[in-house]
Amino acid sequence: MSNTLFPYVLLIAPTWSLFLCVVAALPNKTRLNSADIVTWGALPSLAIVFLPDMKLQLSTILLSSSLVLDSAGRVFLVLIAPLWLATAILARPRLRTDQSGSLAVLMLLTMTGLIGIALAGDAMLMYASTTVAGYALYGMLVYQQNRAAHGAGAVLVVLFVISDLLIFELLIILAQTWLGADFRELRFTFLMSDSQGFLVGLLILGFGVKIGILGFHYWLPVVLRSSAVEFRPALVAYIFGAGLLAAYRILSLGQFDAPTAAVWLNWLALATFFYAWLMGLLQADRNAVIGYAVVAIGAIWLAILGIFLDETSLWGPMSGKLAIAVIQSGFAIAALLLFRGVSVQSSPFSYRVAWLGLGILSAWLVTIAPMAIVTGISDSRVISLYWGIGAVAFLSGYSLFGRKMLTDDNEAENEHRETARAVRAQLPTKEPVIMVTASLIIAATVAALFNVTNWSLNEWRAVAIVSTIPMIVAAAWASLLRRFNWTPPVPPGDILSVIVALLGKTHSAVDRLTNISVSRWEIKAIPVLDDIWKTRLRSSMDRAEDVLRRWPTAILLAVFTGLIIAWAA
Amino acid sequence: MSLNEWIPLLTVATSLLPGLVIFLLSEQQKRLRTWLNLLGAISKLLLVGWMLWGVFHDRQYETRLTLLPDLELVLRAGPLALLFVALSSLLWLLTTIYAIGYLEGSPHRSRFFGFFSLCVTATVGVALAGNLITFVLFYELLTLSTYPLIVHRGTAVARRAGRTYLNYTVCGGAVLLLGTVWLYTLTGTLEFTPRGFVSELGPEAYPALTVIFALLIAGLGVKAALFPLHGWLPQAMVAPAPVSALLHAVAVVKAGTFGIIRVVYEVFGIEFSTALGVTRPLVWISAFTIIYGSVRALYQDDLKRRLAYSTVSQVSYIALGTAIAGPVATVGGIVHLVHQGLMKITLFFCAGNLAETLGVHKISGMNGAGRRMPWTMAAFTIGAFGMIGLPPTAGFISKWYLGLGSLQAEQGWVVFVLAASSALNAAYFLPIIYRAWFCDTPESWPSEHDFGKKETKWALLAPPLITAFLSIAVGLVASSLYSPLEWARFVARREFYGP
Repeated sequence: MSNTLFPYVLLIAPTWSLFLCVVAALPNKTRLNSADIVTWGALPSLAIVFLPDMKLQLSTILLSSSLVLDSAGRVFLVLIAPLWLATAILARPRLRTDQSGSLAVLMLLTMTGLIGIALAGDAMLMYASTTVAGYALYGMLVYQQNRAAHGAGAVLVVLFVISDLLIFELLIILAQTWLGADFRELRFTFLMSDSQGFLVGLLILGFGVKIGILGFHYWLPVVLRSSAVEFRPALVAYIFGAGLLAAYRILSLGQFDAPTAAVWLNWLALATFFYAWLMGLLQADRNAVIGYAVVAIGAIWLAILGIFLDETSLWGPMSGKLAIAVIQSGFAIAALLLFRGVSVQSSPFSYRVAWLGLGILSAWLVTIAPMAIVTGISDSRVISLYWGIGAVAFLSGYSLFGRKMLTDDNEAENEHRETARAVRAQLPTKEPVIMVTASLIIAATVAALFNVTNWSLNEWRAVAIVSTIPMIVAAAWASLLRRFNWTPPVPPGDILSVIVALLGKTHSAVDRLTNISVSRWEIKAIPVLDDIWKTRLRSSMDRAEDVLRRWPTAILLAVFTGLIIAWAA
Repeated sequence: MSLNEWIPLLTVATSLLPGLVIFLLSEQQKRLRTWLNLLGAISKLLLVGWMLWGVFHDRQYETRLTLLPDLELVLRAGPLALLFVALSSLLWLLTTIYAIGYLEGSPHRSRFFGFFSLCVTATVGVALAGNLITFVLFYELLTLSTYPLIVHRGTAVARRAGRTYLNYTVCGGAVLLLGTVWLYTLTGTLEFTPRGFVSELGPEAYPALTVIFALLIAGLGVKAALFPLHGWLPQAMVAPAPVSALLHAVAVVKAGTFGIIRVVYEVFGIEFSTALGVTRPLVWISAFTIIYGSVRALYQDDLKRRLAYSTVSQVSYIALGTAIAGPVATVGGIVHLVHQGLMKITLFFCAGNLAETLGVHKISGMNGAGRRMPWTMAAFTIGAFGMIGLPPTAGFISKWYLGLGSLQAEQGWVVFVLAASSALNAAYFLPIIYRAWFCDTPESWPSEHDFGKKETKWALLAPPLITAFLSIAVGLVASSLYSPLEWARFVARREFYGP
């Protein structure tokens, strides 16, 4: 194949999954088995990983986009493709029962979007891919017919809309000089901008939604609590692809020096660690606890980003380690999430012990993933990372060892039980989950071995102190707290959910108050306000429009509008 | 006259003549009526294709007929005109196919298709108008030919909607005519000219020109549904779905916004308009209308009414792009003329399918509609995503250019209006999509028609699928030589900002 045509192989990965998407959408007579179609979808992207660096200019696509295979994209393909394979294998039973083929279409669209993110050579294609993957992922998660999943989906989609708007504004500001969206041009604008702080803020908030940045993190625990087990690897792939890689593509790590932004990121990460730690402790659901562990992991990446923004010279020697840490972290989180997916209660004791061992190993691998960065930098900049690693260790351990926390004396907890039952009822059989989990752990271990080959014994000891001891101590402490039962569980999710619930209760109280008729002291303000909000605002707008539709109004409006424009001009 | 001089007139005639013949046909002559409709639509499309090719290669297509001494009917195929004509012709063909399926078995079809053809004739005339008086003539013909379509069902509600429509558009037409006549007395010409023809007047004429601008924009703003002149549009949604599609995507609102573009760029000229200070109020009104329309759409449970308010909001993007006054924003505004048409017609086709096949008119009754009509709802989903402005749909490209243009024109606040509008669009479109795809299907539908294994008639399904595909395709291949975006750049480069 000639050098001109060779880059076209990059097109194979996204077009293959799009083609399969069309096949999956075809009417019943011609549709192949959805489960097989989805399983094969990730194959080309796995193969592409082994190709050399290349770029394919797609001058007619969007605003002259391009596909690029570079080291960063390759890292994420190495992560995304196996996670997709895991999702597809685990989702086979569900796909077989899906008569309409809609789930297969949603899965393949998500996959296409994720591949697009990894291969995007410009911001426009990346943004489009992020959007396609995000909304299709939402469809996948909501596809389950349970109330909690739909509630979680609503949270997710609202945050996605906010995220997309922030990213849109960021890209518009960066692209105004060039009118295009090539990464190099956008990075140059970023470097030259007078308002770098504002741009970093938009970037961190926009992409931070995807990794669960504090304030926009709320979707992670609720989605993990209610999502089907088999979709969790896909969720991890999305968090890493649409959150981390996308942010990395726009920031010029190694060139972009922003010490002020670095300080802010550091503080944000620290705040997130403590918040995640506190909220994780209060959770009544182990999946939600892991959700907060993932929030803390996201904050660790923010802190690492801050380090490279503070000291650009660190990027060169550390970028390789960072790449492997990303892969290790992604596989290990997916394994940890899958660990909670099957119940081994009725299995023999040795079987249960082995399974718990896998869980501990995955928690360990999640915890030590950033250690290569910590030990590689070894100065005061990484102090906050220790807190993050401690929080992740604590939360991972808590999700494994925490006592069974549910009681039946709380309405919200009953709702939680219902969700748990709904999720459990759709679990795949345990053998595939165990095999896939073990495979992911092996992959994460291999990545870890790459990173730790030059570690000394002291560093290993540091890892042990940082991760293992807090894990055990925290689990024991949390169990003790639960026994005395003085920390209230917060199902389902977060302080924010409590606020929302309180608002809901306030609204109900207002409703009740509006129905109270006390002869001597009627509460007039509340019903009036409620009425204004619910009916009068709408009806007054309707009435105003009715007036607009009359003959004389139309004439007057035409004349007055003209006069107002004339006056204003 | 050479052939090139006849072609603009022929393009108008390709819908006028079949329309007049169709009026004479009886209800039973279904096949002949269908053939005449399709023949007219296809031949118009071919002529437009020919002119597109010619204009791209610097050929001139112009018809001049003397109406009165010093007053000519001029039809000229410039790049901007052809963009609008191409959109109208393509969507007319699809709407005709849709209408044939939609009205099958219903009474007064000859009357309907006759006026339908007249309506498209007027739209093409508006698009090809080479001077303001030709524009006004066809603009008024559009008003008169659309009214019978709105009241086609003959119900009290339809007649009331028709009256409201006439109230507004006749007043708007009168104001437009007043402005036109006044302008003629000042300038002695009404010929559309790149960069306008009024800038040569001295400063003493500026106050009068300001008022004339206001009158013209107010007259055009009625059809463009600018706040507060939009009242007729949500009411007119009682019309049959093909008419709604025509009103919202092909003809009426587009004629208004197209007129605004003509007035700003080819009557006043963008530099002169900006210097005169008349574009700034237009930006404010457009921005307010964008938000107002979206807020009103949030309240609506009737699907077509929600779409109607969405049109009020979306069409103002075009006026906004025009009034921001910069090459990039201009491209955004012009290209949205096409993009909004494709996306909105998809949504109205789908709304029609739901009403015709399942008897569903309310959003609250759409639970599970996606499982029953997956292709229709897939098209609807694409159209809605486009309206929100999600990439890679056509709507995203428009918003991208409008955003960039507003920053370039140092009107950064417009970006926040665009973001707020996108958020509101998401707030009123995503719940519909959620209901349709992820809520449980009811045991029965209000008025379900059985089409066997198909979800509905092919004539009702094919048009929204084609327009949905185009809504993605024109966004995805936006930089292709033949995309609306490239043509909009061509228009801006050659007619408004070129050397």
